[in-house]
Amino acid sequence: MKQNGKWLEWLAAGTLTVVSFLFFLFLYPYHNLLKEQMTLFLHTPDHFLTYLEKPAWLSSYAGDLLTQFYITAAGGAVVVSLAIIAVWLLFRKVFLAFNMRQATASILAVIPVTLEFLFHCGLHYPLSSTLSTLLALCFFLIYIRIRNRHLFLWLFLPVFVLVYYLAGHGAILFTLLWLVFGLIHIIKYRLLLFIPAVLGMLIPMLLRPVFLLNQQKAYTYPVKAPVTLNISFTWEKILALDYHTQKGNWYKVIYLAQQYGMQNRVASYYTNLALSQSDLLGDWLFLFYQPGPGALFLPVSQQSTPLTIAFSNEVFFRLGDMNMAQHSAMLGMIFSQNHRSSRLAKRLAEIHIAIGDAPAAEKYLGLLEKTLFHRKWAGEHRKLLQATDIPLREKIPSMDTIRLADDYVNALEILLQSNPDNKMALDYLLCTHILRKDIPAFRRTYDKWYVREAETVPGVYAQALIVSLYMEGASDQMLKAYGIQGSVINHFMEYTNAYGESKGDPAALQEVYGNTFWFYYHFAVLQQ
Amino acid sequence: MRVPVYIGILCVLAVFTSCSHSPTGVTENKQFPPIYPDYTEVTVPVNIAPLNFMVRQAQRLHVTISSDTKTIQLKGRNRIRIPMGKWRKILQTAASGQNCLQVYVTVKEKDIWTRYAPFNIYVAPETIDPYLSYRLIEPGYEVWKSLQLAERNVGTFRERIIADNSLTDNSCMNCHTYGNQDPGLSFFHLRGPGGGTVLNRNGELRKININSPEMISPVVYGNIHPSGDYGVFSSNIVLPGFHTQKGERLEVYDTESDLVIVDFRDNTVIPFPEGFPREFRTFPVFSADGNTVFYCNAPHISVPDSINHLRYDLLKISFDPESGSWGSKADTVIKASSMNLSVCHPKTSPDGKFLLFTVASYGTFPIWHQETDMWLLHLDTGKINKLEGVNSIYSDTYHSWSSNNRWFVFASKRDDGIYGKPYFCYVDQEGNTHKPFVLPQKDPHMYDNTLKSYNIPELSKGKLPFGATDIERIYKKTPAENVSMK
Repeated sequence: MKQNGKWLEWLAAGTLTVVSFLFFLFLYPYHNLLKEQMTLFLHTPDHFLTYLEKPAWLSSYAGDLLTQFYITAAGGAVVVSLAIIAVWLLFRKVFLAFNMRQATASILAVIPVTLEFLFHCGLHYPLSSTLSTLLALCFFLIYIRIRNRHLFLWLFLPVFVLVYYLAGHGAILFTLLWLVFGLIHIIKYRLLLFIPAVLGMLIPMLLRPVFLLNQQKAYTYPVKAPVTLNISFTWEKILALDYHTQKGNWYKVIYLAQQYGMQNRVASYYTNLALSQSDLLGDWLFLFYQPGPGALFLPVSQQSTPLTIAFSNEVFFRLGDMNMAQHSAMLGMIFSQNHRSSRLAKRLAEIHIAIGDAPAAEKYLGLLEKTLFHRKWAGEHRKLLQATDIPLREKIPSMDTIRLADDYVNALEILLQSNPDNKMALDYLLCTHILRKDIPAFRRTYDKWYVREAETVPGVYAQALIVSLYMEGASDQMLKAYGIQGSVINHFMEYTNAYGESKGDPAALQEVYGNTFWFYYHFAVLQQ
Repeated sequence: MRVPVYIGILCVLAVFTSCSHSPTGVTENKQFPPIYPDYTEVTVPVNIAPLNFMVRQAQRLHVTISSDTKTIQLKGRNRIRIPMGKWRKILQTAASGQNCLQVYVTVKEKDIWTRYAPFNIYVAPETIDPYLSYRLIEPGYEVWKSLQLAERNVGTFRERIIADNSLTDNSCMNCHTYGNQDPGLSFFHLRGPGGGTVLNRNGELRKININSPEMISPVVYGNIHPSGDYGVFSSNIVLPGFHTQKGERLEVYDTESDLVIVDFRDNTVIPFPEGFPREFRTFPVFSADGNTVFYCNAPHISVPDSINHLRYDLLKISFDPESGSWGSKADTVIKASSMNLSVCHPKTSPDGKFLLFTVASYGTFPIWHQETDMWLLHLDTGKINKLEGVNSIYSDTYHSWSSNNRWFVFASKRDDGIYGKPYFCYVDQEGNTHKPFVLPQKDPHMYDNTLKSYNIPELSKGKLPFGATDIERIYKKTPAENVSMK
């Protein structure tokens, strides 16, 4: 009977591991993929030595080392699932040491496992934190082998310091478990146990000047950013768009954006980028949620979040706006957890290769060559250092002027002046004016830069053009000269009538005209 | 049972000793070895830390360093670390002898041993100030995350953090500046709600909010009077803009700037005298005797649209420390604008003989201008040395003198154009400069792997009497003293 119970427990543990693995592999892979991208683990002695400067050096080093394996969804799923099941096993052992029954211990151990699982679903929770917990549990299980009551009491503080140095916040868990165990097993002088426990809790404060940590981080290290306790499928979807953008899977991004139907600025940012790379921006812009001109660029400013800063270089880079791409990638790197990111190091190398700045590119390639999984990429890109036929290079402006970071219109115009064939810059400029509802600016840009290659103009541009042309009372010939089809003219007339009849009620127009510029023009509220 | 163990040990020893055999089939190369950092033919002070170096592609490295009487032999995979004791002794013998070390480097690369031409390291008998402070920051602008002010002992590898913004609510902090290279006299600006200018007088820290409604902004660039009683500062509205052309990066410029002198004894601000036209005035420093203020001056033009035409000249104006008053007339020291150049960051040598300054094609923020170079002005003769053997193709700027006038340190981006590193340059009795060298590191790979820039390196005669927790305390617990206009 007892054997059966144990067998059932192990079956439950196995099931838990498999469920966790499948969850992180199929339902929630992109959080882990991003975590790998936002670390840059160097296999060098001096990189190892940097870990010794802070508490939790062992769990931090091991955590970052293992986070490299998040490079594939399966790798992340395996590492997280094994870490989680190790938490279950060790907590179960600890609870058994507290004289609990096996079933109770097994069930209670599910609580920290659930917490760890939810933490890992957040964007900023590092694997090193779970390893800190595991190290603390290991130390506790070894420590309770001490049978001598005096040693149990007096060895606590030195071991606390050791656990703190190796596992950071794990020392707090170690203290709690030690105290509970002591209260259960030491009959005499129970109150005495509180003295070393309280002193131990003061040690992180005393060591703060050594490790240069603020009061909060002294107790939470290696956790450096606020953690969350929920599963965010919204972020998972955004990260899916981000991941496939990096891979250049543009149709996949558009497909996912259609599936998700998200009303989110970052999602719109990636969708619009994918549409532009697929030459569909001028046609499909309003098939997707557009929160305004901010859907085309992510700002890099003091108000931005670290993640949006990290994402913001994608558009600048593809536009050929290399100085902004560099600024944004550099800041993205700065704001990653350890101020190092393999993804952004790659982007900085690509930027400097495109610019033709070999010494700067070599700096980042050199770093990537010291990693386990990016050295091949670095080796391949090293061959491009002397290449002259870098397609992006043609897009980089040849004229120099100074512009502010958020002056996107000016930046796009400069890109076009230097290279009128920069189709993406033209699409982005036209769509910026459209999303700002600035019809005159749209018209000026269209007339100046747009070269119609097909019989007709893209749908959204036609919708904006017809508004402009009707405002100036253009003739039918002029409409024809602009390549505006009769169907667009009819559609516009229908919309105008329907708008009049609706008396400004968007609900009446949404179904038929919700995907048009005209509807956006009348009803979208632009945020400052 | 024991015999196989002994045989095993002998085999292992044989393998190890075979690795240390002298190279065979060595080819000769008449060039200097491709070592990093480049310490070939540099001049170093007798109190500098070991010049550890590496050869990036090497499989093995054999190095011999010799003076008249001593020799150090070193081996490594692709780097060497020179033992501190042996290094100090060999430097001492060199300094008292021929003032020169010879370095022989033999490299195994792609299984071929190559012996390169030996190079010299010249040892100057004059020491350099033993401490160096700098700001460690990832290159960027507007947004920051991690900032640290650090102090490094240049004779060892010991680095100490003297301020860390993770302890001051992540607020920005500007670079640390000494007065007279004296560790007991220095300041830096802490920004944020608990911020102010932190003034160190022999370890006693004051926090002063040097701002008033009459000023353009809180103070930015500055320098302390030799007496320690005054500070001269610029007050600037600084904006960043981005270049569009490749190769150019960030442009940081002022839309307004002016100068003030602060009397630290009674916290009064002495504004720049009236009667001068509305101009950009920035980067002020006192002369060595404290009776003159050198500063950079440009006509007020529209920026950023005319930034390419914004060129600063070097001017000077007298200052009377007795009465605490500015002079009434400014003289032009260097009319850089007539050479289509712009001056910034002047620094006088402690003996008052030289003025080291930076020139760029235009503008006022040198670190993002690749063409930025340092020039040396002989104040007695007016002769300018363009320091061609010192400057590089990338930005070389933010310099500071050693108290004995024989050395200066500057930040150079010569390796990659992005990350600044401290370089030291020797100025001999005749005013000739020698090939500079980078601050040595325990592990020569360190510069390859770091993503931090060393901002505004400054030399000091001693160790600073405060640390990061003192700065945390003053930020959080000490209210800032206010100033009033004179």
